[in-house]
Amino acid sequence: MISIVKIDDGDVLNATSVYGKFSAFQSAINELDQKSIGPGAFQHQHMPAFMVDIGAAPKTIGTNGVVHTYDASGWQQIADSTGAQLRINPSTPPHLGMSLTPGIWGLVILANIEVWKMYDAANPVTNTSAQNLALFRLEWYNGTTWAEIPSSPCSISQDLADPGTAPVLAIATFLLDQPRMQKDVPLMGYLTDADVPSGETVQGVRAVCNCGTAATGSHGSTWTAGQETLELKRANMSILALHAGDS
Amino acid sequence: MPNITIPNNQADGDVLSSQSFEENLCVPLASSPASLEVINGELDDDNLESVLLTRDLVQRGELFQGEQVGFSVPLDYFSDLFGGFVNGDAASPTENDNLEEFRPIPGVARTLHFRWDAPWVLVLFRIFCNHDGSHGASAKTPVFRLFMDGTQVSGQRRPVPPHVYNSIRYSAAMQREWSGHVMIENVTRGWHDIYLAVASDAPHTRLLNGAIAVILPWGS
Repeated sequence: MISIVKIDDGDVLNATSVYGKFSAFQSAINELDQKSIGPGAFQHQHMPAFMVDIGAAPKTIGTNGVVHTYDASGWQQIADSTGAQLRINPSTPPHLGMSLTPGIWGLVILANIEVWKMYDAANPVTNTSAQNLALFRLEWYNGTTWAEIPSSPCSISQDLADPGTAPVLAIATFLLDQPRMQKDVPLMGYLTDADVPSGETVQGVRAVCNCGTAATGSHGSTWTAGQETLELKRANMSILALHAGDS
Repeated sequence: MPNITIPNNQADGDVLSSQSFEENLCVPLASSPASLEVINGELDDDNLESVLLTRDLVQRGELFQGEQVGFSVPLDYFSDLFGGFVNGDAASPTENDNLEEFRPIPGVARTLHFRWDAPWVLVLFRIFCNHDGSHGASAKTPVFRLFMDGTQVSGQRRPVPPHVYNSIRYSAAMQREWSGHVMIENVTRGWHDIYLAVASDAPHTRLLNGAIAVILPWGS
């Protein structure tokens, strides 16, 4: 409610009294209460953006027909044949947390990776098993070390094509051709202030891969490095910074 | 937008001019309105005391615009439909020269009207496919590509592996769900077509189900 003292006939106006009329409006309009807002009053122009620009342009690597290879030596940065990495370094490395400025609730990281083949070059026919795994995960960088983004790891197996019924010769040819690993691997990660210690910023996000052989019955929880080679092609990654807060 | 700050603080002894009086009433500015002019449609959340923004206070579709469509009825394509298309993973491919052979897939296509320029648009898609293309140097396979307004989106190509080896069909083991996402930046307001398209030199390609989702964030 805006209350203005009435100006009666005969009142003497001066600068102070005139300005007082404005300041009453000013205070009232600057502190509108909930009841002042009609249903559907707000459009997007009135609202703060729900995304924050942290300078993290999406990244695409790889070209048709050109593979990049990885061995079983451990987690390796995914990068195409030109050296372009599946990695995004925000130009404005964000803190995470609603109480910070700008308030960022969390980062959603999406990636898709085209897997071409996985094989043991020394034993292409005999070393084929659903226990041979290609592993992928997302990591974030605080400027010093890389850490796994929780819930982002994903693995796919070098599955067989119904070996129980296919003729041996057909299987052998099939395995030598080695294309059956061809899959699309989607990765998704969600990074919040619970994952990023106070005072640290997210200076980079990347996708890494590895390959190996899972121990029997381990469901991939324990595995050993073997002779596998993993071939990848195209991949892309995006980061969405979800806004929450006042600025 | 900042709170109103009346531009001319008038105190005792000041000469009250018509100009300063008028400026306090109305100073139309493109930004930072600093007079009572702000009540002419310029009020926003900065003018609120502590207010809980509930859904009923915001117009529908003003924070995000998003749509998803899909299909679950098998769609059959035969290689005759695609002219002389040769997939890009085979010998002597024509794929890059024959992008016009890619056919939008019903149910994985959307025409949208963007009400404002968008800093980015997030597109998510998936497709489940089966076919009878053979392996070898001249492997016959379907290929999927994402298009926007008739132009392919960079990096959004999904090649499907052969399903037939030595006349034995391995579709049960080889069939895959192909998925992807892409964040397309700086999309202008207006109508846009976004669709996944297929071309194939496999004799018979069957698409079993698929979907596409488009998400746009608004906000100032």
